[in-house]
Amino acid sequence: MIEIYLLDVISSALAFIGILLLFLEWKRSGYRIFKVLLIIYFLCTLVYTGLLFGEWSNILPLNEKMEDITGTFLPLIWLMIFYMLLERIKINKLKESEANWKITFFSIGNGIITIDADSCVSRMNPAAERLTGWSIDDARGKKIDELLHLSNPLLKNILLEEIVSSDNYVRFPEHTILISKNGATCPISGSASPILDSGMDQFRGKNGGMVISFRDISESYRIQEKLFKEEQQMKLVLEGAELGTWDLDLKNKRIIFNKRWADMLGYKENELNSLENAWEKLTHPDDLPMVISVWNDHIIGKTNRFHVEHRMRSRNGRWKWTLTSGKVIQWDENGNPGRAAGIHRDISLRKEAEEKLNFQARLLDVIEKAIIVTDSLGRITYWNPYAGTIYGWKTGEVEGKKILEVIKANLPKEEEDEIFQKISKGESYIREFETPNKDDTLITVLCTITPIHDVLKRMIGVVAVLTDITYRKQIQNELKLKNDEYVRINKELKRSLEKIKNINIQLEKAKERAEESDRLKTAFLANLSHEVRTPMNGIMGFAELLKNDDINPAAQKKYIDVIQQSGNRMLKLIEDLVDISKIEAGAVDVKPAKVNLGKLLENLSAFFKPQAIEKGLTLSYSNETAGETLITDQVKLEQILTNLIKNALKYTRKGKIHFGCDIKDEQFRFWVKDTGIGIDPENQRTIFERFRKANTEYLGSEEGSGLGLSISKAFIEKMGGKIWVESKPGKGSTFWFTIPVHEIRTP
Amino acid sequence: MNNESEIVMLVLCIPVIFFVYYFRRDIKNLAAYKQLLLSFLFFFLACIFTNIEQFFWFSIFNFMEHLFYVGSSLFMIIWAHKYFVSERGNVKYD
Repeated sequence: MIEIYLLDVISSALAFIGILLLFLEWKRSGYRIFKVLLIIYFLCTLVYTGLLFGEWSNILPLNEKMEDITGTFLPLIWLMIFYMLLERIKINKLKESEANWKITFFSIGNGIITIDADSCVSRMNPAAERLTGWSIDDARGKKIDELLHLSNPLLKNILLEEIVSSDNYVRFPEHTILISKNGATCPISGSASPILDSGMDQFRGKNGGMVISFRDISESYRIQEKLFKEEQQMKLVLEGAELGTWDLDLKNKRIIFNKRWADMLGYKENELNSLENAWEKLTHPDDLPMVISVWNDHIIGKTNRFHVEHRMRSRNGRWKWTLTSGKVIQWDENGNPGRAAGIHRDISLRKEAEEKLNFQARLLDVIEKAIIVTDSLGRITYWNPYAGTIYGWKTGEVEGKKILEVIKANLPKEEEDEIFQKISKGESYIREFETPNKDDTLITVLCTITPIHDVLKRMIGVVAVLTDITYRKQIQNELKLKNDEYVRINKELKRSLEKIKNINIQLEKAKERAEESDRLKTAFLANLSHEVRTPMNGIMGFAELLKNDDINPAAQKKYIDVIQQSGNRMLKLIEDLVDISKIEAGAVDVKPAKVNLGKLLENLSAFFKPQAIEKGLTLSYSNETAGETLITDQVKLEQILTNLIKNALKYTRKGKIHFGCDIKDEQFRFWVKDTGIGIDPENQRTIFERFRKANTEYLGSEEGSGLGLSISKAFIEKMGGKIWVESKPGKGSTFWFTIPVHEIRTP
Repeated sequence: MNNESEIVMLVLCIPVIFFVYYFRRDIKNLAAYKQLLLSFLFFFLACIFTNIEQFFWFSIFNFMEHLFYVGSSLFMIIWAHKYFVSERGNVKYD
């Protein structure tokens, strides 16, 4: 029993603490009636434990019935506790709802005005105050038509009449303009609805009042206007860009094309839209699987867009390349595509251009010329396969590198500057050069560098076209070498030909000379026979005469003289023949010795003086070199002078003969001058030739072999001098010859 | 013999139980509702025990009865404290 007592004490203590707690809480929070109920509950507990009035109480031990009574109250108090708590929850919810309603009512952007059954304003929110220009305090109790001023009075009357007389929902007509109290206007949209009852399930009717809701749609107007403009712009853009549009309703399997889409394929808009599965039917059968695959990829989320190029059949049966692009724009609640839309573009021209470009690209790939393109900084942006063939680098290895790092032309700085100048002027540059390839093997290329310009004429790079001419250069070099060889041979042939010509000329001359010589020899022989026969006849004749015994001594002497002269003449002829034969044989020797010119000339003058006198001629000589000593072959010099003086005596019939010597130009110059018959100019050129006498007929019976002048000439040339003649027919002749001064000594 | 008042208490508890069951969703919105329900449950069990003790094992059920009264009072104090604290600071308790 002690434990029970203890437990009741604890219960009583706890009830006491509860009561204390509630008193402490009395001012801290509200809901005091509930606190009172709890205090009663704790008091009942206190009583029920019996500590205060019950079995354990010493205070009022007789009131055990009190314990039983309070015990029956406890469930009731529990019921009250729960009931009050639930009521409290409802009240709180209502408060919260009211607060929310107030927040909504005062915060909502729409103007809300409530009117009662008499159409008098009962409430209005701040938005309505702002839009109408009325405050709730001013507006409350006023008729609604005093607040709502519309731009169209007729409209206002109709609307307000409808609002105040209708039990149903009334919608403001479009383009309703509200004029506020201060005169400002704004477009509004709105409605008026009957106020519902508290159960929110039936109308109160017009007796319950109406709630008018309206809002400023200026922004909507602006947005609508903007949307309208954008729509118009979009239409223009679509028309300008020649884009067709399609709108696919996947649920209803219906697709709508715009006019442009239909135009592209030559159809009318309604024709195409009414054609079932138009897309599949018009798509090229070869392209259809690919199109479906791309579409499936898009709708399962593999791709963000449906983007495919394919062919479609136009009305005239021709296939047109089209670009179809779009995406799913609506999905249903199960995640399936509901609607898709996009554009459709005719890309036939682009495809043709691509084909051309591809063709050109293939040409660049197969052309046997290296084509290298750089950007404006000289970095390689294109390198065709043949460039790789001749240089050894592949495209990936050189792209982005500077072209001069790859193609090392090793040009002089001046030439590089010239290249840059030409290119910067927009001109092309063509040059051959040697350049190493990847293996450092030198190759010869013919390079054409041309600048590339954009539409604004700005240089955006260069294109270099290189032709490998290594083999051609080798062939050219070989040809050049061969050509040089041919030129050399040709020159040699020309020279040989010249030589042959010269030889021919010489042969011709030699032949002429030989013929002339032959002719001269014939004449010479004829002359020689005459020259031999004449003295021989004299000798023979006069020797026959000398056989007579009756010849007197004077005649005998005369005959002997004639024989002697004829003998001398023959001897002279023989000497000349000996000399000429020596000359012909090249056996003439010059034997230099000191020659006293003065003495020589004096002797000659003395020797020929008698003959001159005999012919009635005057013979004289001059010696301007008196005292000079000449070193030469004296015999030959004397023979020359003798020959010339003899000739002068022979061909001069009257007048004089003068001979002499002087020094001119460091040479001894001899002359023999006569006033004889002279020599015509034609004979002057030939009289020094062998076997020739000037004007044979002219010379007539004058004796002589015709060898004297040629022998003299040969001797003079052997001694280093030369001989010439100055003559006029009938006036006389002067024979000159020179002997070089080898040594001049003054005695 | 059973005390009539104890039977009445037990009988009066039955409508409370129905009430609690009926408004169980609303009661769950109360602050510290678990302590409140525990307090009532202990009170109800105490009522049961005080009636059972009349038939057998008096001492044990009598002890249990008083023990559960203690428990009921204890949970009631705890709930009351938490409830009014939540009323003050709008604190939500489980």
